[in-house]
Amino acid sequence: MKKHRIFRVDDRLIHGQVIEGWIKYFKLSNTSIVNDKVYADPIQQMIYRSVVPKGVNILISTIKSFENEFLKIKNDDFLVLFESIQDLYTCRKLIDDSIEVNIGCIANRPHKHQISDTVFLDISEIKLLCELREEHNISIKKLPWETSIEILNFNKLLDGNL
Amino acid sequence: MIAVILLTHSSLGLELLKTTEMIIGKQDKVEVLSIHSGTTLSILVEKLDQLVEKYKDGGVVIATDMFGGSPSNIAMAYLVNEGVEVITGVNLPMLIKIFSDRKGVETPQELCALAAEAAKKSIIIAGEIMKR
Repeated sequence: MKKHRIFRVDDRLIHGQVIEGWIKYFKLSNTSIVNDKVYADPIQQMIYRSVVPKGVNILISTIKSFENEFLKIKNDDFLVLFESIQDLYTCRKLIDDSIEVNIGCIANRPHKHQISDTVFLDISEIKLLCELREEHNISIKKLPWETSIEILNFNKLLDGNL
Repeated sequence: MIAVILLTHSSLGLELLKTTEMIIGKQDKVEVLSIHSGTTLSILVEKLDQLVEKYKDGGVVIATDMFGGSPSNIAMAYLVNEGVEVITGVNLPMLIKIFSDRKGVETPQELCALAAEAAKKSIIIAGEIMKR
């Protein structure tokens, strides 16, 4: 059976869509939160550990320590969650062809462009995403059974034509 | 009297409140917060901070729709405060029980215990009753 290996950007980290749509749907054995704030906050850690379905291993690490921690799960199936495009970009050298990269949920803030109903990006994030797209396959979708949002127009957006 | 904050996905909380009030009448000390696609959670947390601060001395129940969802995850961070309890899986019978019993109980924890029991008892497979 195919092992699903997913890196996802989701600023809500583990929540309903992630549990029902990704962890349970692909029957994943491992999930990971790569986030300095959550790592440093025992209450947030306790909350996220309590909501993961039974039997799913959860790994919480800082961005800096993730490269080492990733060795524990990299040969298995996994969903690794990043809060931002910047965090994903920092860990980009860990992405190989077996990993599906998914942009799922990034909330609206001033100066952001709406990409989908759940993804809002500013120009600096779009630039990073364009760079990542040159090396990797990236989809924008909140749930696995949805069609990915087409991001061909990003270059036009960067030129100020959208 | 213990205050109630309904914190749910989309407009579920608002509609639940409207429906509950249709059955048992207008309620005081109740607030609704909704999380939509694209909602910036830090703004919602600021609003929740203010509401918890406003009501915590008399006790607060935060009712959320689904354990593991963003509303529930956000609410659980307030459990460090003794005046706050969180109950998940809110439904109509649960909310009716909360509003009906909240004047007679001392703590939000006690109220949530009664509400959880009422909500669980309200889930019935009607065909099984008919076969008895």
